Amino acid sequence: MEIRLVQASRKLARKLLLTMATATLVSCGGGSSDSPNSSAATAGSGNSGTGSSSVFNDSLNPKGEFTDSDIRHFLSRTHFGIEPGKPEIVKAKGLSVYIDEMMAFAPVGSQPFETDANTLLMNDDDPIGLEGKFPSVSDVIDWNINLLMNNPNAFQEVMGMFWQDHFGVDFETFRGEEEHLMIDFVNLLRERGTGNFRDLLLDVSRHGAMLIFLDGADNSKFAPNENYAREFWELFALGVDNGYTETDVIEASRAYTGWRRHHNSATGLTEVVFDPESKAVGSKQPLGNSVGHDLSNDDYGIMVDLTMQHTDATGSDLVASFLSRKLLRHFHSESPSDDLINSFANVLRQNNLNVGPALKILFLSESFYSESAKAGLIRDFYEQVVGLVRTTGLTESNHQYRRYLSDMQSLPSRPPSVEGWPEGDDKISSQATGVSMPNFVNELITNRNNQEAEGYDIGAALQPAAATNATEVVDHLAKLLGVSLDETERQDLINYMNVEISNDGSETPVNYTPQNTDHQSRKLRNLLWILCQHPSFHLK
Amino acid sequence: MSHIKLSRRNLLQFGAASAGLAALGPLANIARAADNRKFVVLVNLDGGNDSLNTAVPLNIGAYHDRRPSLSIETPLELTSGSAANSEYGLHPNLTGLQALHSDGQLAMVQKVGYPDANRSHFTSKDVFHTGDTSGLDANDKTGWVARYAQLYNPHTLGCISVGYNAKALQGPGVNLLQMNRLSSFAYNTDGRYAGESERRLQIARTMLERHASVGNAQAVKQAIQAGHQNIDRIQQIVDSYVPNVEYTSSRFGQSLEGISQLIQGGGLGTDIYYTGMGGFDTHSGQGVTGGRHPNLMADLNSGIEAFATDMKALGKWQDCVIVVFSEFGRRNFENGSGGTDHGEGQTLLLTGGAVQGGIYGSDLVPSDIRDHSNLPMEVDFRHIFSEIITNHLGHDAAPVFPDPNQFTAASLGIV
Repeated sequence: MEIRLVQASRKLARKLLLTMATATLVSCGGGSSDSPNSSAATAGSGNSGTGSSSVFNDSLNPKGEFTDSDIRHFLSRTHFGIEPGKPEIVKAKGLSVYIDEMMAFAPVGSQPFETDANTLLMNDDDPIGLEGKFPSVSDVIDWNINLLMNNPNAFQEVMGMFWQDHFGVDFETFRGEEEHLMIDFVNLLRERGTGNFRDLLLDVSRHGAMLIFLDGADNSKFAPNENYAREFWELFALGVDNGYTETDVIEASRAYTGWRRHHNSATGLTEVVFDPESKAVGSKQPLGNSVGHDLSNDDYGIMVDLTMQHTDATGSDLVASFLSRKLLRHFHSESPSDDLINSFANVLRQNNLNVGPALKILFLSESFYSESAKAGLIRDFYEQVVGLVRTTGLTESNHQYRRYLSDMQSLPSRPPSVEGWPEGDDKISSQATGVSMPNFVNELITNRNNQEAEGYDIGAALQPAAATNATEVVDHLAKLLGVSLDETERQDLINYMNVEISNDGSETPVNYTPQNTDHQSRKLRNLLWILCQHPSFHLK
Repeated sequence: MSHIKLSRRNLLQFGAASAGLAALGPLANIARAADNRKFVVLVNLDGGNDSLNTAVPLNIGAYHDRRPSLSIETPLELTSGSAANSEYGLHPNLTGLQALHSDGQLAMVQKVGYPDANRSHFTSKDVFHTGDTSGLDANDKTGWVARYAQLYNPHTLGCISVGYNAKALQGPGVNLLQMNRLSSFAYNTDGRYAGESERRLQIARTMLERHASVGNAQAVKQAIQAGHQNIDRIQQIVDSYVPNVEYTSSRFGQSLEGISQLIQGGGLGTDIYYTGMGGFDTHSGQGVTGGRHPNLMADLNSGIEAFATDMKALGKWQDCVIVVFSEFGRRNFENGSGGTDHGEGQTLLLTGGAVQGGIYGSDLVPSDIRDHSNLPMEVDFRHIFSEIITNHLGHDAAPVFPDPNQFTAASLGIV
């Protein structure tokens, strides 16, 4: 009993300290913000400050100094990989400044890489003024993959994919004239990735892609289907059975009516429009409230706001805790502690659920760089594929990206279910991890002719500028790929680089010469394949 | 590109340390074997199958009343054979299952579910995959098939999924083979430098065998090693496969053909094969005799019909039990979108040479449909799987399903 008391006291003290730490953070600038990019947080403003050192690893206290290892950890979680030169840029700017810049997204559609990607959506017979509005499913996937690979600000696409995972919409069954809605949906998530969660929740709920995918556009005012009502609370806002009942689902399903498809004969496109005639009449009673009868507007805004205000027994709103856990599991660790979830939920609340400022506090915190946070999260396969292309500069055709990502069930714009992609170790399979990913890497390293024709210099891309031997090359490439080798593994790879294997299996010793293009083609490319088999490559 | 073929020398050199090969014995066993191993094929209908439109009640007017546009007017009759009955029919697209019923080899278990059913896809799927109703995050649980393999068949091929990546086969320290298609379960090589391809694979194998890892890194390592250990023999099976019947080109048809290939390959020591189909979440546009659900029924029927024919030709049908299940059934009544919402109880189907055909569990009565939104639940799905593990696979099922929160029932005697 005595031991239990001591443990209880420690836990209480820990909670108190965490609360104080959070309050301190808020008071020094984490307050509410109407603009997603206007964080006033002052935590951890540079790389060489003298911020306090927290007693607890999962404290959201600002971290004072960021080591090279910390910066690499930050990049591995917030980008698709650690691109050459990026750690140095972060170090030079200071982490806080870098975060501000990476969260300042340019307006969607305003950048050259987007213009290039948009060409993938176009067909020769598109009507003038409607270019790119009639893509195939494959076109949309290729477009999305290209955005991930080519956006100079990788974090924007990381957030876009986070929300694609959160608000899972698969447009495979959309009709041809509806597929343009998916482009707009992806762009909405890309544009608003660090924005206000309440606003995003509402705009996603009313979006044509979501209304079609979860049957809102087919809803009947007489006997509404429950699809959106259930998934909205379970997957998008509260968590399963968290503060709502089956009766609430039925009541909410009546509120989620009033939208229907409209075929625009002038454009040939289907839109989803609000139609008062399609809205269920009478009041609705979700979550212990009454939503009055008013056919002039839909009830989606009311439903979102009732959900945002919904509290637990202690009076805390439930949405912030739900979002806190989701963000922490994506960026911080697979099983964040309850204390950390609560602390970060408070940060989100204090920032009015503006995601960007809250994430900045997380990225500058002691906790984000703790041992538990640095234990590897499993990378999604699209992260591995995009990361490889972005970090190495090796490229393949759109068809091959799509083919292998399809094999791995990791296609952007095509989450496997409304729940998004698998989480944690559910991502791993003998097919995808063990076979499809190695085969993608093989595809990438054997696309020599096309890469060289486009002027790709693998020696310059994957080796140190003045490298003279295999040891330097192995160390450099392992670091580029985020692979941690022990000494035996490292030596085996150095030995591999210094021997050529003929097709009959016979060996010829060589001194790997980094400037020798034959050596690069034979050994350097296959070294990359081996490194991608290392477990640490699959983690971030 | 081409598929890599490891030489026998390579396999002997690197296979000795691989758990899968070590457990399964020498290469001679890879040869097509005429073993009489009993096996189970689990068919997971993902999204919540409308079992009322699968196994249709014939004499309950409320079924038609509550589904004015979705009820099936002329189901296939089940009035012939040793398990003849006049209470239920089958969806019109399930002609192959009707034939199996006439042979006395189609069982239907009524009112299947689990206590305190949840209408969430994901919570319910977690329960069906793990056999565990506790509130733990499913990521922290072990799948029940994985648990079975750990207890009774602990090697990478002990239970296999084809075309359906199942949580049921996953868990800490578990490494069961999960494949999309057998033909794609092969390494591509660097065609310009074939010798380098073989060497790079050897180095990767050695690196992983020595690599000490825990947690997620360990799980990644095992998944990659499952490829290292089994690719060659899987491709031998693909190469030596001689089809007995023509399967459909659908993902489900191809998955069942893959399972047939594995069975024909022989000697793998597999007890449970897991596969499934998606698309059963029919909130709208469900259809009666044409449309989403009827198409799914046709796909299900074609696959099982071909597989049954195949197994009979191979002399394996008597060793086979196929279970067709979903995470829940759907509502008794249709919604205004031409579909049905998430329900609770379901009718579960079993077939195979080892199955005693008939109706199990208490019959549906009018009040089940008339007075309730969902079919009630009386038979725990784990009770059915336990009976298969005990009576068909010959193992104690209690450690596979230790969750105390289960409906209890007397033995059904299906297998």
